[in-house]
Amino acid sequence: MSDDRHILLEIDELKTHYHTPQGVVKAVEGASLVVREGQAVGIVGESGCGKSVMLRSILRIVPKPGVIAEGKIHFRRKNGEMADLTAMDVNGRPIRDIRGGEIAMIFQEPMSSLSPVHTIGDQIMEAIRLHKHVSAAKAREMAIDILAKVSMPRPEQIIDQYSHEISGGMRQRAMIAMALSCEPRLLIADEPTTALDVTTQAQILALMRKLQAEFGMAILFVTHDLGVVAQMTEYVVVMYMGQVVEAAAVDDIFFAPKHPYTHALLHSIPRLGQRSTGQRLEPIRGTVPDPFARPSGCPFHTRCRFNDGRRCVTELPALRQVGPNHQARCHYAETLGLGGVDAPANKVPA
Amino acid sequence: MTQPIASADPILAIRDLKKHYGGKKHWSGAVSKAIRAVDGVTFTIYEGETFGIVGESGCGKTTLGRCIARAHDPSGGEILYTPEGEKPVDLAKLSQRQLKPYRQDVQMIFQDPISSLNPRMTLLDIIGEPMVVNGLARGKEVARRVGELLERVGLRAEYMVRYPHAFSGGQRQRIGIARALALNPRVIVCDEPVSALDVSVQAQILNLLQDLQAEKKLTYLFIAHDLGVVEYLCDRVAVMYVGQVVELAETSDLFARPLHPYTEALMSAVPPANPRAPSKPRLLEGDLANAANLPPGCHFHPRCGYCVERCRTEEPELREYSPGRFVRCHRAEELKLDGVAELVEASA
Repeated sequence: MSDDRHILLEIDELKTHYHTPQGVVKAVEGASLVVREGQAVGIVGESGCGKSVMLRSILRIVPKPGVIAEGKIHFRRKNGEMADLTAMDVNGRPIRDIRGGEIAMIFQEPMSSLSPVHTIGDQIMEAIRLHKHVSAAKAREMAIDILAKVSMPRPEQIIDQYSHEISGGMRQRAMIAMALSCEPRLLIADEPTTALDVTTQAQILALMRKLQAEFGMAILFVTHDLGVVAQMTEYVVVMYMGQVVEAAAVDDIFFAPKHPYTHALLHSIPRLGQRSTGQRLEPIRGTVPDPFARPSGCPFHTRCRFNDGRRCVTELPALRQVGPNHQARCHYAETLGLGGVDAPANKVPA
Repeated sequence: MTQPIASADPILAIRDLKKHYGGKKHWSGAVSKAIRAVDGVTFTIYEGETFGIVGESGCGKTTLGRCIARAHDPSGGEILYTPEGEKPVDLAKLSQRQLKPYRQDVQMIFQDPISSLNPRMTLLDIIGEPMVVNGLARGKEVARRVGELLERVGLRAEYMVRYPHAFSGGQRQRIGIARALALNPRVIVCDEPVSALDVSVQAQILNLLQDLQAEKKLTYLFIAHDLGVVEYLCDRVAVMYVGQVVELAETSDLFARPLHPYTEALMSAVPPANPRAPSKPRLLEGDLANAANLPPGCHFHPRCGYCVERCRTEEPELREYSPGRFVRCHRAEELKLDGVAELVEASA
């Protein structure tokens, strides 16, 4: 069903490396994904898996000493042509038009990503006036308008307040207002609710769902919270050590995972209602490997329960098709027979 | 994991505990308004259980935990601790000197495994120092016991010569746990011990805490904001809202049928990790009440969907709804609130 929508963003074998005095950190090491117009795609992974670096590569805001070593990022511009973002000058006109204008980003920590010395209104109006040729008065009107759209209470007052004067939930609303002020076609949300309390998170997620329907934009939603992924996205990409290890529709990821890492993630998190089943958590053994010492072969083999000791250790598996619209990077994806989230409840009657 | 709690003895009884900040008279004559971080908290923890405290940031759960470990001095109330085979003592009233024998018994694990370990001390110093200070071990004995503890928490004994920076987040939290165990405590206050960790490491630490509890007969006061973790680990749970306990019950009862509208809102706000389970959060209006300027009546009434006139004027008491279940709501009897069972059913 999703396939007839235009491709909006296509990342093809992206490699972003950091050249540090201690050696090269391969933060992103061959990641590919596709976002279609209006689609909500989730990226799941632990800290250090390269998800934030990949997002920053899209907007070409990778901090030094990071460089895009290889790969292409194609983005469909407003006029319909596919532009390669990796080929653009980082300070040039085209990428600056895209940043904020066509692709907007909201960050995890609203306190540190808002300017403490400018009012909320100034920051939103700056974005508007950079991308639209309107008068200051008109920009202010638009800013109040967009604040009202994100359900900010008392927008006429908040617009003249500073970020320290409002609560965490309101700051995140202000961030979203700023991102949406120029009607982007792709919104990149980097852990937008991680720093918020659950009740505030529920408010923000409901708001984002409403706005996505209203604006018809695509969202690239990065999070480590599987609950947020399940509720907010239709397609999920799982990352581990800079690589995509599995990509599938959200139902397939949760009910029929094909990669041992996805499976392990699903079963290592205490979920509401799990107590009644009396199951103990199944942790993933060990920790994420040191980025300077990437394991040989499959990067997950050091922690994988299904490691065969031969092929997994020596040969890097390719990301390949394992089902309709379902990709996984595992030699044994088809034969492992991994269970999804509802499997235990069906199997164990006790 | 679940023990018959009624048969166990109380180990900690918190009675009307208060911690207020500010509210002092300035020399100019101005009086600042007191922030009531913890405002009259009462509950009892039984030996061997895991008692959970949940709430959002700013609800006073961390302050409460620190008061109980006497890292903060409470402004009022009692912390009745029952030492082994002795009469209860009120930890809240003891001076630092009088407190010393009991410090060994109540230890703490902190949220942030980076800032809670001294970067200039080796693991031997970090874990061994409390033993030396309290006269539990000297000389070579310290190293031997530190080695044992490190192995118990899943690290290697050789690591004791290293510094905290050489370890990952999960390993550092193991070091924090080893330090808490160094004095053979009876009660451990765990202040969000897994919320700073990666999801794949969380489960390792939770399982370790469970194993240690079974082995050493520990009592945990487990402070967290993640309801999934609390449900998994705790025998009984208290829900806090701006400095007060609004509901207290056994875990399965609380999650099956919450009695307080805030508990219901908290549970429904957790997005279920199942794409086919419908998420129907009861969205709360506005933000957490200001602890320096609390609304009259029930502190939750401005955000409550079930608010009636009485809630606006009369502050509810924490009352015993049924044996072992406490709730601070006027309308607990008449409301039929949804628990997580509905969510689980929907996903099955």
